Amino acid sequence: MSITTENNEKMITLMSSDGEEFVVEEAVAAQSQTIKHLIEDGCSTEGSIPLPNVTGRVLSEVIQYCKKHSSSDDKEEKELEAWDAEFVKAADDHVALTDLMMAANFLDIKGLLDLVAQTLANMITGKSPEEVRRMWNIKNDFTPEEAEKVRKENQWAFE
Amino acid sequence: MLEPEYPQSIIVLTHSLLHIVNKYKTATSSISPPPTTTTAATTPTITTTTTTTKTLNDLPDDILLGILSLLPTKASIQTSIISRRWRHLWHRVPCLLFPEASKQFIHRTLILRPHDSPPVHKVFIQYESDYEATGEKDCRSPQHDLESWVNCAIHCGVQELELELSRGLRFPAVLTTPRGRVRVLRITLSQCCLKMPCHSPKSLTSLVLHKVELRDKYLSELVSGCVNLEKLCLDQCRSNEFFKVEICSVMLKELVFKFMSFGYYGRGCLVIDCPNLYSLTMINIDAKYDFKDISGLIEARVYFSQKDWSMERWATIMKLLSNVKHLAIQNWGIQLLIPSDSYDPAMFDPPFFYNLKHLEIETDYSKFDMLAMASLLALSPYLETIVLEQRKTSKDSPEHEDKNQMQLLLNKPVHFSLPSLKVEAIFISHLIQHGAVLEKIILSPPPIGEVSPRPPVILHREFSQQGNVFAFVTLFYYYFSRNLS
Repeated sequence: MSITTENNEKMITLMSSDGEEFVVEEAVAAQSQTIKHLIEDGCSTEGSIPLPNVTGRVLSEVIQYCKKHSSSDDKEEKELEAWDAEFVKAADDHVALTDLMMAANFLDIKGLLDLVAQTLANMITGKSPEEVRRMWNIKNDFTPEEAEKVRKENQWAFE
Repeated sequence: MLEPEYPQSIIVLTHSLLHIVNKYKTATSSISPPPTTTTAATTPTITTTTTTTKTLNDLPDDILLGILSLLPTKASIQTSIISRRWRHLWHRVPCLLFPEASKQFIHRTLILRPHDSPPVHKVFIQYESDYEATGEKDCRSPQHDLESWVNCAIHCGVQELELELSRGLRFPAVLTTPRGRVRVLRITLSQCCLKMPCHSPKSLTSLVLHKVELRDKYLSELVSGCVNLEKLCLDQCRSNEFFKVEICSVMLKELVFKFMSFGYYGRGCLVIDCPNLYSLTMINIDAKYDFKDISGLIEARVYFSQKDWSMERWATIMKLLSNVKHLAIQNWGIQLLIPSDSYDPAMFDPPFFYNLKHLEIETDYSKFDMLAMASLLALSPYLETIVLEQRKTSKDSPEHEDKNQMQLLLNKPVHFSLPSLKVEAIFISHLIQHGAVLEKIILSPPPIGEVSPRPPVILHREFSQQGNVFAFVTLFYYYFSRNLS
């Protein structure tokens, strides 16, 4: 009795914007609707699929996520949730999260998109506008008069 | 490679998968991903070497709106002073969420939201009960507030309305008028009752009532009046007056009942007559059942507390479910399938489950469960997947008293043994018969006390050698006995 992983799954090569190549199982890559459609259209038969919007660093994170979510059984929700929480916690760097968000959006991976959106929403909740600006390095381009006007406009939400 | 010597008909089945999974494993995933060219770690790590300069402001509007939809509306309006980019963003957020919002805030937001804003998809209102305590000088009645909010929400184009109410109110009348175009309605009540409408909201496709006090007449009329209703969920709804509830609808596709008792101690009657029902979920429902027509049923999920549940009731349920493709059930249901003299066989002639492809069983791995699984395998020739879940032994679910029948194999130091060699042979022979379709079995032991479990063992079938089927059955037994000793 041998314990083996039979592996005759078709492999797909993905190329990041900075030229890094990743070889993954088709089932893993197909978690991305964008790539799935490319495969269906026959774009993957020769060479690699170029992903001009995603850097190698972000792509490797995305692939980690896809691997986990393609290999896990539907029934292992609790374990998956814990894994997801660890995954975004590891990406606690705000910039990494926005990059991940852009990649999830471009690659159309709903689970990842929802996960990162919720994480970002949690990070904004309870923060003052100043704190949000500082966290994401957003320039306050209102003049003091404008800022006062916006605050008055939406007065009821600041009471 | 040797060719397998299975008959042709069985070879066809080798593509299907019988996947035995223990849900409550706590070890990390047993399915190791195949190697890639990168050296990505198996645990999530994200390097923090930041070379890009992306900030939240670089995200496109659509994504920002997606993030803002997850915030309470108050917080999303407050983002307007972050920068010019954010000033008008909240106008376009497709969700208005008012958790713990003040009455004034809800009023003003609904009125002051610019009229040229795009339609709102979802509105959530949590209606606080202690307005009087805040000393607001407002002579308008709570009902008036609710009506005007729902009216405004409809004006904003709302499709999905969620109300969480904590004071006695009437069902918003505007929903039952032709103007009420809400499709999804979710009402949660806490410690109050809701007066149901005389007319049913015809636009509804989905209705969820949580902790709502109902009278049978209203519920039956509400359902038959909602001519477009496809999904109905009643969760912890209650009334002592339920004697006969009729759910009759040709449109209804999904029906969920959770934690409800019909009539005094379940003496009430629940009639279901929904020929197009696709999915049925019943969790701890006390009632007499009368399923008139559920012939279209594909998926069923049935869990009951054992108390008051006779074999007779299970027999009725099992017969009704014999056509489903996807079944989730407690061990008590399938134990009926064991040929036994503990009940009258004339009362229950086990049906074949010819359509069954996916089965989830909540089990405590007693010997009877193992036998029942073996019997079920024999009755369901096209089964592809079994998921075994450890039966939950929470305080809410009363422990089964009959220790002879229900030895809690995994929670107590009970030596696992099948009743007799003959029975063991039956179980193994069933497994072997299904061996032709078995491709993989995952065995994962539950944690014993504080000790973390051993890593799960994955057994793959090798298609080329017939003898392996026997091998893993033996290993299955070996593994079980090892873990229990």
